[in-house]
This record gives sequence, C-alpha cells and structure tokens, in this order.
Amino acid sequence: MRVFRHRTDEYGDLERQLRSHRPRPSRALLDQLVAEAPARRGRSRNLVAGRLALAGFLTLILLAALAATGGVSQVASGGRVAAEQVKAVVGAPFGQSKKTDATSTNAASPNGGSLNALAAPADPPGQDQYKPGSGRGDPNEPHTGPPGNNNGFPGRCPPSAPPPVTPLP
Amino acid sequence: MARRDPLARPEKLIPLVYAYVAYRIGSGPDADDVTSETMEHAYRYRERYDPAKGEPMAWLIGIARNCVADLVARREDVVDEPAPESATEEMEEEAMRRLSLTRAVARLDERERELIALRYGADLTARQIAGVLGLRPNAVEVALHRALGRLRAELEGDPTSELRPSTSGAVRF
Repeated sequence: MRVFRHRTDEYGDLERQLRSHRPRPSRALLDQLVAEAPARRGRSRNLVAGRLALAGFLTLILLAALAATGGVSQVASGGRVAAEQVKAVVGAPFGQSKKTDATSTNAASPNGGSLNALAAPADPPGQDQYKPGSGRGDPNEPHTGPPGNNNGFPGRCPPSAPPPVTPLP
Repeated sequence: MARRDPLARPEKLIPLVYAYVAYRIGSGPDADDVTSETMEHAYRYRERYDPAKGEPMAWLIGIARNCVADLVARREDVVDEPAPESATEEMEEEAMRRLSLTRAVARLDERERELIALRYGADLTARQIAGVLGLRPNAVEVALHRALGRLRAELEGDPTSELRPSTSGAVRF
C-alpha cells in the first residue's frame, strides 16, 4: 500500500493536470447528445409497445380465421377422441383391445381403424399361427417336413423311385 | 424487475466519454464523431446493459473502445496530433497547457495512451480498468505508473511544453 501511495504521490501533479485538462466536448455537441436522449428513450418504449400490439393483432387474426373455418371445434373434438383412444389402448387389459369400439376407432383414423394395429393381439403368436398337424391343428397328424420327405410315414408320400434307365443304342 | 437505466444522466457521462476518445485519437471532428457514435449505440442498446457486469461508465467505455477501433480500421491515417487550428500563437495559456499535455499523450504508444485515457479521461478506477481490459488491478496500477513516467519524459523532451517539470520533479505551470 505504501508503494502505491508513493507512486501516486510521485506523479500527483501530473495526474491532477491530466484530469483538470482533460479534453472537453464543445457545448453544441454536448447539448445535441443530451437532447437526443429523451427522444430515443421514448422511441424505444414506443417500439416495444408497437411490437406487443402487432403480436396481439396477429393472434386475433389467427383465432378469427380458426373460428370461421370451424377449426376450434375440430381441434377440440380431435383432442377428445385422441384422449379416448389413448385411454383405451393404455388402460385396456392385454387381449381385450379387439373389443374396442370400432366406431370411435374409425372416427379417429380415417383409413379405417389403423389404431387396431396398435392394439395388443388377443392370442400370442405361438398359439394362433403355429399349429400342429400340417397347420390344421390336429395333434395326431404331425408334420412330415418338406414335400417328398415321408419322415417315418411311408404311406403318405409316394415312394421315391430311381429314374428309368434308357439303354443306349 | 425494473432495470437500472445506464443513461439516466447523460450530461455527466458524455464529457467523460469524449475525454477518453480525445485522449485516444486527439480532439477534433473525429472525437466528436466517435463520441456521437458511441452515444447512439448506447441509446439503441441501453436495454442490454447489465448492472451486474459493471458501472454504466465502464459499459459506455466498452462501446467507445469499439467505435475507436472501427475508426482506426477505417482510417489508417488517424491523426495522433491535436487539431492544427487549435495551435495558434494567440492561444491562451490554459489552452496551451492542454495542448502540450495532449501532444505528449499522443506520443505515447497505444497501450499507454489507452491506460491514460481510461484512467484520466474516462475517470475509471484501476479495478474498472482491469475489468475493461481483462487484467488484474495490480497490473493496471503498475502499467499506469510506467505510462505516467513515459508521459513525464515526453513533457520534458518537448521544448514547447508548458508542463515541463521543474528540477524538483514537480510539474510547473
């Protein structure tokens, strides 16, 4: 601290002169710049108010256009149907989604109930697609494998015969 | 939350901005233009002023520094000397002293002139200068001390200077 005080005192006169003789703006420039301040301040506030008014005006136009084309009720009903569908899909127990009201499904999806694809299947794939007995469900009629393979059931497929041998002339 | 208006009292701030600019580039039309440009930017962007980042004067000086840099970039031949019309023989003693001081400041290098302008033109504290320049306050104090020494040497070397120090080291007027 003593060092700084010494440094300050060392150039004390010079510092005082630098402050007292600092360049000053002309009176005209100072008056002009000071006079501009309130005007700009008011203009800035007017600019903010103008932006808010424009945003409100555009919002009103948007709402009016929606009301004129029925968009408000469409949006409201669409939201309600969507909520019902979500509730039906999420809230229904596994295997009961096929019982969902088809009318509401079709109303929600114009392509004929694509929401059914989202519903869980009634039976697991292992029970309704892969049946024993050549796909007909008879447990006493086992698969024989690919065509031509009798697989232990010789009577079911024609015996495999070697091709006829034609003697050479 | 209502923000503090940095330009609530422009009549106090404008002379300091002008003094900073004039110490940097010399008095005259260029200093007038840069000061006007600085205040125009300040009026336009006053909403962006953040009191947490510093005093209004430091904020204004930040704008002024950019304006000075723009001027220097536009015109490489920025006049370091004060306006010639102020150097007439009929000049009063007060104006002569100011001119000698301004000439001596103009002969300093860019860094020293910046420090002198910030400290004695804009009247910023060492801590505020440190914030503007991104330095430590102690480093600013040391650099200022060195700049004052160089300024005194310039005044001693100027035969026309009315501010030449006497043999005791004090500045004579």
